[in-house]
Amino acid sequence: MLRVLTACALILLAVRMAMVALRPKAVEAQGKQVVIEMSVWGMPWENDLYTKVYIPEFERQNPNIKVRFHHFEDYGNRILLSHAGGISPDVIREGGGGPIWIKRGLNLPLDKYIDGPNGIDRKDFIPVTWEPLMRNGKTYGIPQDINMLGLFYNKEIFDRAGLKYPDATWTWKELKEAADSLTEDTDKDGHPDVIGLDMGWSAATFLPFAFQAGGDVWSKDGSRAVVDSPEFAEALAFYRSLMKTYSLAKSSSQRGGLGPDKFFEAGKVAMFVDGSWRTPSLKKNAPNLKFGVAPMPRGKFASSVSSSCFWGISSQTRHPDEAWKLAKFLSSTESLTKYWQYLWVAPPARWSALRSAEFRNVTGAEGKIPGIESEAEFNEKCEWIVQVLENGWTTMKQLSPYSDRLGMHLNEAVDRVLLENADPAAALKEAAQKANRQIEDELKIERMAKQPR
Amino acid sequence: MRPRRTQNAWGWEFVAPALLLIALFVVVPSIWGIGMSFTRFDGIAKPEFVGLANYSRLRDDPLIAATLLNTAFYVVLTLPTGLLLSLAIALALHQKWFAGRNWMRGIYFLPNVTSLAAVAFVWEWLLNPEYGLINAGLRGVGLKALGWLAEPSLAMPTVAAVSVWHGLGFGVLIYLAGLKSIPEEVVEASKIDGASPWQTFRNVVWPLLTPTTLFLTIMGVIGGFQVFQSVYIMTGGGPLDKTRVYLYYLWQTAFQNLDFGYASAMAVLLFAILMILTLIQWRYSQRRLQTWR
Repeated sequence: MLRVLTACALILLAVRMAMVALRPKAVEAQGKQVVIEMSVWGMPWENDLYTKVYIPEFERQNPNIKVRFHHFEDYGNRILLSHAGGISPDVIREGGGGPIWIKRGLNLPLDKYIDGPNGIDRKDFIPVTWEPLMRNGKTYGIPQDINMLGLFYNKEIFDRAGLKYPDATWTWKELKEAADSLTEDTDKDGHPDVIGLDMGWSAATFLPFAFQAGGDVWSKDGSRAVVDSPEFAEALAFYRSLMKTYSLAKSSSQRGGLGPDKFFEAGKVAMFVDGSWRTPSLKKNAPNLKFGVAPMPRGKFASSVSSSCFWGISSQTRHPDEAWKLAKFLSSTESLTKYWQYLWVAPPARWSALRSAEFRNVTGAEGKIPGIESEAEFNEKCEWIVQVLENGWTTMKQLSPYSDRLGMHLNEAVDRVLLENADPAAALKEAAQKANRQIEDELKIERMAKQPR
Repeated sequence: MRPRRTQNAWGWEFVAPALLLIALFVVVPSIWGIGMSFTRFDGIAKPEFVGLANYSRLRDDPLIAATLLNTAFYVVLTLPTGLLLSLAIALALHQKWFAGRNWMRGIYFLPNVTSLAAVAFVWEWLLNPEYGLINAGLRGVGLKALGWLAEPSLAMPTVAAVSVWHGLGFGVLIYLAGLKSIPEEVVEASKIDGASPWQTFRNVVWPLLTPTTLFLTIMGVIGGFQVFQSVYIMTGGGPLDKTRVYLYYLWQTAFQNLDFGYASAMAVLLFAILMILTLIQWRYSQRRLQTWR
């Protein structure tokens, strides 16, 4: 009996595995209806926007297309694994890691759709949002949104000190002076009660300063890191002068999971640098906190750092036409406007959505995300976004297929300068050398793999 | 009586499901991984054969030696401390006069059955430089607060301390089993011969615990070289690369840089290192065990 049971169990296991392995592509035609799979990551309440608003409306407009929705945790690995298994979703939401996937062929080039009869107007999109999804003259996605770093400030602390709130005219000088005068150590124990300026130490918060100094990250052909420039060294020296004096702890990853936002929420920080996505969660977590946001202070140039989410179509898709319809729908002005009004984590990538009256009417999601209550509140929390985008004060130059390689060494350089007082120029030179060496290694292997045998 | 062959067949049938699972999810992926180390594979395009190129990169990559050294440092910090503490606690819990020792055994084993990810998060909060309980305690008694995970010299010892705390229960349990297997007559005999408690421990108990200690050492070395989770959660390899251990670098290479071919070559190197270390320990243990038999 046991033998029969064991044999049955083994046969069942083998059959199940064979079914998974031999499963036809995830997209199957059900009669005349085509099933398209799409995937996203994000907060759980974001799903409602897709499952209750976008998808029902899209299916109503396209009765022959059915959309199967996936919210993946551990998103990058899930996409890679599903691609390796040949069951990649057709329409994939992609973010800062997009250039790596594009370089490796995960995405379908979309130029014939974008510029075709059923295409979209490229000019309606904020120009910088196209940069990370272009490669060798081809376009591999449709932009969805654009986020950026800004300067958050606590209005009450500024009022107490009698200082003017930060605005677009601020330079490094004003930032440093304000950080100095806003730091309060009432009991003089060397442990400030209010920190003038706070942000985690990392390449991510350092980069805007480097761009403001006029530095660049990659060589023109994008194959070499050029962070060993005098502009980068100047920015890193300034960054050290800010961080050494005012930062609460050594780096964001080593603060026990408590980022500067938590200190800001608690009213212990006068200014901190974070992304546009932080605003709704700050309002939700600290409803009584009176705060505003301004563009990053300028150095020689005004610059923030951005990244963008976009809709890519898998190179494995069997239904590119239907996938295109969905991607185009998800990045339509109406969809992007709703996305902003509901979530307000990142402004839409389309000018038509950004410049619409609806952009100023942020409703939030009932019971999950607060909305914006007045024009005055919109002006102090969101107007900076419009300023930055309309004036082109942001960049995505840091994004590249080699971003992670450089990021690792740039973080190390920042750490060395801040922790060991290393010379900024020397630390950056070493970071560039290490990153370039790894990139060269990879290119060498790539060439080797392409050689005919 | 059933013929022997049929009995053997029964045995195979019992282990067949386990063998099948191990073959599918351990043996096949391992062989696959070795094959992948000779390719350029980014997880998206098809793997392309590049011969020994990934192994040449291993030789030239300064981060390989640096991360291996960091890992060795972690093992040096965790292994002796873990063994010593486990033994001390097991000895205490083994005493018959110890009231509530069954409770204590459970308590010591509790961290071990808790997910390391959860443990690492809790410790991160405890170690928070500003609001953490540990620094609050230090400030409370007039001592200087420390940047436990932020100071380059403190980060690795702190990660190691958390790992020792988490793994202690397992060592205690194994040592307790080892202590139980020592015949009471042997200990009694040493006492009758006039040996002091220390002499009994030094000359009777400790030598008889040799197989247990060697088992824990081998497991400790293998586990130590595979440290990843606590570093991933608590420090992300920083500060100043001081906690970038080998497996963390391997993970970055594979899943951040999508360089699976090179990461596979790194995995093969780790396999070779662990195999050599285990063989050395094994040979040493055989010699030690023979001495005491």
